[in-house]
Amino acid sequence: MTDVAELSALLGTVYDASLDATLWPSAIEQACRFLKCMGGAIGAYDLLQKGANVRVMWGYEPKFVETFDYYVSINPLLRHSFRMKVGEIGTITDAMPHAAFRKERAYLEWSKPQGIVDLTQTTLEKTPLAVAVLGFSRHKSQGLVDKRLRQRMALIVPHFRRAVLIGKVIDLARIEATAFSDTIDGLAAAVFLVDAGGRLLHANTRGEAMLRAGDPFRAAEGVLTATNPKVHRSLSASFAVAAEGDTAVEAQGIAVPLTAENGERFAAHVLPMTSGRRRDAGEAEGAVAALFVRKVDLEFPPVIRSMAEIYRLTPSEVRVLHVILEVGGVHPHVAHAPPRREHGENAPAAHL
Amino acid sequence: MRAFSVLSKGEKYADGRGPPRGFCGWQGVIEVDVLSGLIAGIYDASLDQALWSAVHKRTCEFIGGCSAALFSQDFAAQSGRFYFSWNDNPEYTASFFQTYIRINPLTPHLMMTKVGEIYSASRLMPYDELVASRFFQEWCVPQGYTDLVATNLDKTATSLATISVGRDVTHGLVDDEALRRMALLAPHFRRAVLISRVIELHTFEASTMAAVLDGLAAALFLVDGRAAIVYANSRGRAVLDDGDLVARNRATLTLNDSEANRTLREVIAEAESGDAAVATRGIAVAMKSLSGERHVAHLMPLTSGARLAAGLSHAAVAAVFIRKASVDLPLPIEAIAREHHLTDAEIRVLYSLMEASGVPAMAAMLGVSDDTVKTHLRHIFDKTGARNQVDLVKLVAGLSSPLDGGDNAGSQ
Repeated sequence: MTDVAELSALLGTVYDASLDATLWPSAIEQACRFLKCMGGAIGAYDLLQKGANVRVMWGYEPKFVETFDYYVSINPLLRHSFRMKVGEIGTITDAMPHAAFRKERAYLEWSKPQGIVDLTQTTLEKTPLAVAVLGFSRHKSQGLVDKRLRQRMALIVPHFRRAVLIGKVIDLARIEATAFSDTIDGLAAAVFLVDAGGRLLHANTRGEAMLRAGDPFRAAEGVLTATNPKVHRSLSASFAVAAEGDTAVEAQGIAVPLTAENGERFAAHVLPMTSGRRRDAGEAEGAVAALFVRKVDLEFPPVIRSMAEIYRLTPSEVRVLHVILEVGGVHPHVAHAPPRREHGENAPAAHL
Repeated sequence: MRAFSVLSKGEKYADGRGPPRGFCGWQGVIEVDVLSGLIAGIYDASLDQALWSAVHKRTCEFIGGCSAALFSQDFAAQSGRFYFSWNDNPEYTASFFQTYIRINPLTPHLMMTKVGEIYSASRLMPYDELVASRFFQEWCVPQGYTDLVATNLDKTATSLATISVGRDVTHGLVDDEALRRMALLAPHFRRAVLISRVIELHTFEASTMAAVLDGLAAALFLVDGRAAIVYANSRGRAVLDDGDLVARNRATLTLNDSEANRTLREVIAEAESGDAAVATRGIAVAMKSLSGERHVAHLMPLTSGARLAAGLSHAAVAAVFIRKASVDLPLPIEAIAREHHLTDAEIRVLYSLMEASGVPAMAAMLGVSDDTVKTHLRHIFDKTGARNQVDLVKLVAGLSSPLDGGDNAGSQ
């Protein structure tokens, strides 16, 4: 393989790793071949914690992998990496003469037994208390770090940094999306996201359970369908209006009472989602409305009764507490009130 | 007659000259740092799409070309669009999708190309036939295009997403070297577009979910284990700006009611440590703002396994919902009246029940006798199935809107 073909393939693997972190070892492997090194590692070190909190290695025997963290921690080059600029390429001689390094325990006990004679490293990321390092080891058969190795290292390091950054951007976007969908999953209400045609785009956990039960809502060929035809017509109209834009706001929050076939009562609320978040033409359209469906029963859950007593809530306050627990939280039957505390004010809500 | 001299395959310029001065893209070997820099640019564009145009320019210099575009075309709908381009002529781009996509002689050949395949127009079909076509004469010739080198990023049964580099007479027809150079870049183009899509999908999902949460009438804060605010919905942001209920601190959620704050912090810490009890129970807290307004809060642990290790300490561990516990939550009276066929007098009694405690207070509020209130209550019980006043409060609560700006205006 020519240099350029090898480089292109190596960089391909590096950026693949930003999408799939399990590929980092093979990225390091390919980099080792490109750099003529016997092994390499990425480690993130926190000054306040012992050991690495991220570590990927390729090319070392298992028993040396096991002791790697310890020897890195006593290796003077780690301290040096805190002084290096991000992206700067360093070797042993930047920190100390080879002769001095060969008296270090890290060399005598970890490097020497493997035949490692030299190494090169760079700082991928740095904060005052943490550093992420990418390093490669040269075996004695591969010679000391030379100008050519430094040049090749300089060629690939920006790509490792960029790939790590891309991986972070993806992770953050994923974590954000997951936190939001977890929150919606935790709601005691069933939540359905639909497009203008009432096609179901997303259901939270309770929504999915409701669809499985098929009552009072089911998914008919991908369309959210109320078992009661009258309710279905009314909601379909709401979704269509929501797709039109701002005029739909008037409809927001109007309760649609509905009764399931088994006689259970529910209340549905439509939230139009109008803002210009819909994607470019030609791509999948976004949700135009969220439908909240809550069960309406006449029993107050125990937590509300105990909260009402502890905090001496008025009927209106009880109602608010109920709404927030129903929609904004885990199911009230499993929620609990905190320990009782002293309240001097407010008459007891005697009727509860 | 053709407007300019077009070389056929294998043909040389009459005077034996190579590519003209000014085109110095690929004489000699490829410099690894040129390739490395171009690949870096491609992935930068995956994070910032405004950089595509610069990537196209460098791609043209690297491969040899005068314009480049990332575009899609749908052969069934006979439509398409340019996403990012460099040095194309907008008029011709428009006329391509309006007119020439229908008569492009390359289309049947394009439909047979595969994802990742590298190809040139002059090798997809006999070049003299291409040159003789109306498409070539009317669309390519006026722009000076002689050939193109391209690779497919994505393909469906009827559509194709492509990166294409157009060449003019100064570059000559696409040769092996140009194909080799495109082949070096092609996997990176595909991967960069994939990265953009992955980020876009997560961002789109997040913004959709955020829109749902913004619709809630409750203030919502997603917090990490130290109560640092990872996200606040629109009501939550308003509460932070107001400063009456919580400290005006966008970084950390601090309730002004210090006792409630202590309770909240403890439970958040328990939620982070994965305390099984909190994880399944959640917690409810009542509190007062500085001005004395009562609020109710509910904390919900976020227990999903999506919290990644590795330094990402900003993952949310709990959702905190807070709502003012005052009477300004509109009553869903209309919905109840409609559902249960209540009379106007019964509606008034139901309304008074929410505002006053006990029959005498309700009677005083409405200016009627205790017996009248009791009679109406009995009728309401009959119609709704409620057994007592508590049931009625619950019934009203069940129909109350969880959404911002919610409930029917008719109840006022």
